[in-house]
Amino acid sequence: MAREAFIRSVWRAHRLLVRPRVSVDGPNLDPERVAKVIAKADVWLTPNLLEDFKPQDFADASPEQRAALQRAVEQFQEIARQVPPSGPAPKRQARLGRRYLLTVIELLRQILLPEWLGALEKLCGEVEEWATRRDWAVKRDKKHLSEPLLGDYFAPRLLIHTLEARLLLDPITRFAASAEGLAELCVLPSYDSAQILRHRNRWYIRLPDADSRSQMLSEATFVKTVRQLLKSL
Amino acid sequence: MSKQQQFLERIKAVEREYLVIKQAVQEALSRNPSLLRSVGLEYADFRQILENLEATYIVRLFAVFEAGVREVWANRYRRRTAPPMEVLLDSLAARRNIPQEHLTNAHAIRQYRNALLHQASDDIVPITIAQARRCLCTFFSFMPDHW
Repeated sequence: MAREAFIRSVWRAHRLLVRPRVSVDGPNLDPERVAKVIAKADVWLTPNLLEDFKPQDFADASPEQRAALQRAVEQFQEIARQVPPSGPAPKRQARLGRRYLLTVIELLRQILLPEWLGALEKLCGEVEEWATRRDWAVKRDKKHLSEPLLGDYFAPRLLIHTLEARLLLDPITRFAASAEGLAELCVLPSYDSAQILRHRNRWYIRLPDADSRSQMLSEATFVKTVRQLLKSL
Repeated sequence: MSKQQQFLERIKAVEREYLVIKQAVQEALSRNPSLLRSVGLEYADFRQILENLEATYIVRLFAVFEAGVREVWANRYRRRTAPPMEVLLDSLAARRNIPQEHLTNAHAIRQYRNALLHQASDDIVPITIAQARRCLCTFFSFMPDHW
């Protein structure tokens, strides 16, 4: 879990690097000025940010990537430790901290993006196989996604034609709440959907009813979910 | 991806955003029930907040749908008019051969949206965001792929 906690910290920090959009409710407040103050606070520049990093959590990365990531994390930590706890970071520290954090983000992106796309490819491959066995026609497509840390990328998605209706297996995000990835199985055109969540590299499926529980994704649970979704037509 | 598909996904994204915010508010309050006191509210206000949140998102959901059908009207049918939504839905239903059932459902969501905006919700049946998304996406699926 430390690995995911580290990834989430970097993901949150990446969002904080962008100047926020501010709305104000007073005539004397200038949203641009408030946004500038918030951005300059550099709230991400703290040693706690990357404290969950453990090189052994990235055993799947190449030794070069792991070493580069460790070096960038250490450089960031060194700068962050110099920031006075009671005031803003001096300009030089803020600049260096940002540079090292951006390096961490880029290195992490290079590790995470292929892993996430690989997980989606595997999911699509399995679903394609299960659908084909039932004589449901399947069409593959690419979807453009954009999210902090991973940037812009194209993810695979599937359009499934059953006799009753079409379904879309749609990737949504790598960073879902309490999951390491979210896709949806939607029935078209109503877009009633079941969530497909990724935990520790395994996929689970859940209908949107309040009382439904996640079940491990398998051929049986997939087909059962499709039948339930088609019932809603 | 077709323009129609883009709008369908935008409509769905509004519902997803609502679910995320609802979940986040519920979790934050379950961890710290006195969280609302800092802004002068009590836990009893929470239920009201959630009800209003869903209404707010239904209004947003309809706004995305309306933007889509108005684009179709202007770009596909080359119309420079800006008819009221009631007329626009009827016109598009006629042009796109949309079954009466789906048109009636879309009107029901429109009326509910109007009731929410004008706070005239006494005699109107509440509609959930899932129902609204289902009806509006179904209506919109009859729009052309591109315009």
